[in-house]
Amino acid sequence: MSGTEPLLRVEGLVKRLGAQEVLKGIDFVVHRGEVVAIIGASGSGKSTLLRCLNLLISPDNGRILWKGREVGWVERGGKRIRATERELLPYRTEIAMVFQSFNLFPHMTALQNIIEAPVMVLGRPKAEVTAEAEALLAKVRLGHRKDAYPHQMSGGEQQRVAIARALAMKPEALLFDEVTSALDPELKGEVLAVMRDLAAEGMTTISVSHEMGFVRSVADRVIFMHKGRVRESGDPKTVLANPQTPELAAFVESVTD
Amino acid sequence: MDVLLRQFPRFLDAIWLTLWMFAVITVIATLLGLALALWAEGRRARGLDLYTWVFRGLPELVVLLFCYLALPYAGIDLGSIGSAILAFVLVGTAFHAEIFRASLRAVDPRLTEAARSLGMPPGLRLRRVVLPQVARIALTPWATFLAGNVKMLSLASAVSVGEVMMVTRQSLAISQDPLTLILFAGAVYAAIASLVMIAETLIGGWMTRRYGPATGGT
Amino acid sequence: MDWSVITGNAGLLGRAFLTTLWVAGATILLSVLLAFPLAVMRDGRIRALRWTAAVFSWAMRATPALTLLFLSYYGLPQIGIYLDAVPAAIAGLTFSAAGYNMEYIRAGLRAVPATQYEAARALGMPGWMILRRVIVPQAIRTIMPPLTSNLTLVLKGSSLAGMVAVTELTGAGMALISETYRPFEVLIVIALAYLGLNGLLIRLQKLVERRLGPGAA
Repeated sequence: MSGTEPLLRVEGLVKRLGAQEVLKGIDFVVHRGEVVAIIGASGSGKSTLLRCLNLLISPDNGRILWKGREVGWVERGGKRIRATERELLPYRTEIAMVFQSFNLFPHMTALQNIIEAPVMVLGRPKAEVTAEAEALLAKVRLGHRKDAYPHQMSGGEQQRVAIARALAMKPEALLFDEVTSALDPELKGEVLAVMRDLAAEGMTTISVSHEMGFVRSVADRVIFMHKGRVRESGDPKTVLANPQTPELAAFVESVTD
Repeated sequence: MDVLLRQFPRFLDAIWLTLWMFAVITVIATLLGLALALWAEGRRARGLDLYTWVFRGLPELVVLLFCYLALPYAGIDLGSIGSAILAFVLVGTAFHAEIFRASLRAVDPRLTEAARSLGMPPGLRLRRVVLPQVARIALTPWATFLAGNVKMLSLASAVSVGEVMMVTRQSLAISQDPLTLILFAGAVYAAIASLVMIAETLIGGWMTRRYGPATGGT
Repeated sequence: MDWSVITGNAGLLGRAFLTTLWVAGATILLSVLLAFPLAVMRDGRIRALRWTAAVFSWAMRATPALTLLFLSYYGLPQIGIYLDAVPAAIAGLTFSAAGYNMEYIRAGLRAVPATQYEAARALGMPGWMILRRVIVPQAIRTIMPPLTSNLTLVLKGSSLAGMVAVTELTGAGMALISETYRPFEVLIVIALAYLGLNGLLIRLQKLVERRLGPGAA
């Protein structure tokens, strides 16, 4: 079983916000080492989907299977009930997330931001984590900025620190939520380069992205969402070149520059 | 002037008492206010709402008289200094609770989300991520309240606490020169209040230089 | 509990309640009247007036209201000014409140764009007319909310008058307690009176905010 079981399996995911159904039954699988890109117009439910994946928000219906085991629910007294926030924490450390607005902790330096969770959450020795964190900073080409505070860094630098912070947890998959959307065009490149490196190393990533160039050249698979449903998915070159639905055709039209 | 000089040693004791009471009241009321604000987070804390409304709405003097004159009838006799401390803690806690509740609400929710995504449990999140932001956001309203609170300590003279205003009032009885005495007392409170505000400016400035603007640099 | 202390002294407490209203009301009115010219001076063209206003504002806000009250009650006779207890209390409280009101009014005046002054000057309006016809009507929206929330402080502050022999609510309460030894009953009634007045002021504050807030005509 374990050899063929995908890393992540999503079945019939439904999320309602108030009266509105934001996700109307999403199904897909992600295999180890895959680079998956989720595209779609704003309001299509992409960011909500990503937050459901690591259970920052809990779905109303459907199942998420991580390495073959369902997450978000626990068996207690023969009943299936929602997991508590505390019970979700170990899962979240395995599937890290990078945000559109970086969300670095403003009172910590770049290095402190990175070592915070490995030391405080995983309880790993500080010296060891610090050495790894410095290596990660070098990898995102910020070795010289380790003592800088977030407000002293450009958006591109902050986002690369945020990626290093996520990697420091040694996650098995990474979620990227429009990580270049808040950046000026000249800063997007440095972040996309880091994401390319990660893909080349075989990191499993699920990205919500508007960077069609990145999606075409790096993603193994693209998922097009429209109004809370997956409308098309498959190899990005085929799917994007040859839309089967009018919605994707319109979307491709709108983002082609 | 001569009365002021003759009474100077007593004034020094009184200044010391004022500072000491101020410190004790500030520490207790701040901690209680913070604890109440944290407890009330995310729930309908009707009880706390009522408490803060009552103690922010009542004149400090009335609370003070209650602690000093009424509580002994209920078997709680704290003496003049004890009553004054209790009264100002009751009032201060109400103000601090409101300040910290507002500050907690002002913390960028995206930072909490980031901490959750890193697997940080609620207690750790609060200690390492949320409270440092609260400290920055609350600094100015907190210091502003304290500067006002120092002046309110002068009311403790109403229940014969031997702080600056009390010594002033006693000295008035034997002085031909009340103006000098009262101005001196005013200057003492003004000096303490100004020190609080200067400290706030310095600390706030230092934090902005080091950590960027208070409401998150994202 | 023995409420006969209250019923038996209803007349005294009623008069004290009116005195509280009178002291607080007069303080509010006078402190705004005093603060307005000072706020204008504070940002005006004459350096000496600017400094005078700045020092006044700082001194009034840094000194306890009780000190200012004592100053007008015990201190002023020394320089030949004799006031009765009530006017002395009102004077002290007015100075204390004026320091704060000045800052609110000043912030409001500053919030009006400089281009409005220019436009009015270009029309040949004299200084006082610019202020009255152009600036103040616009500034009033910024000024009123903090000014009304300051009313709560003035109400609470009026209790200090009880310490210079004014029989307002708190002063009357202190006198009653030392006469009857019934602190619980007396203080509860006084507290309720203050909370009731405070509730009214908060209503007023909400009303002002709704009338002048964003989206109001």
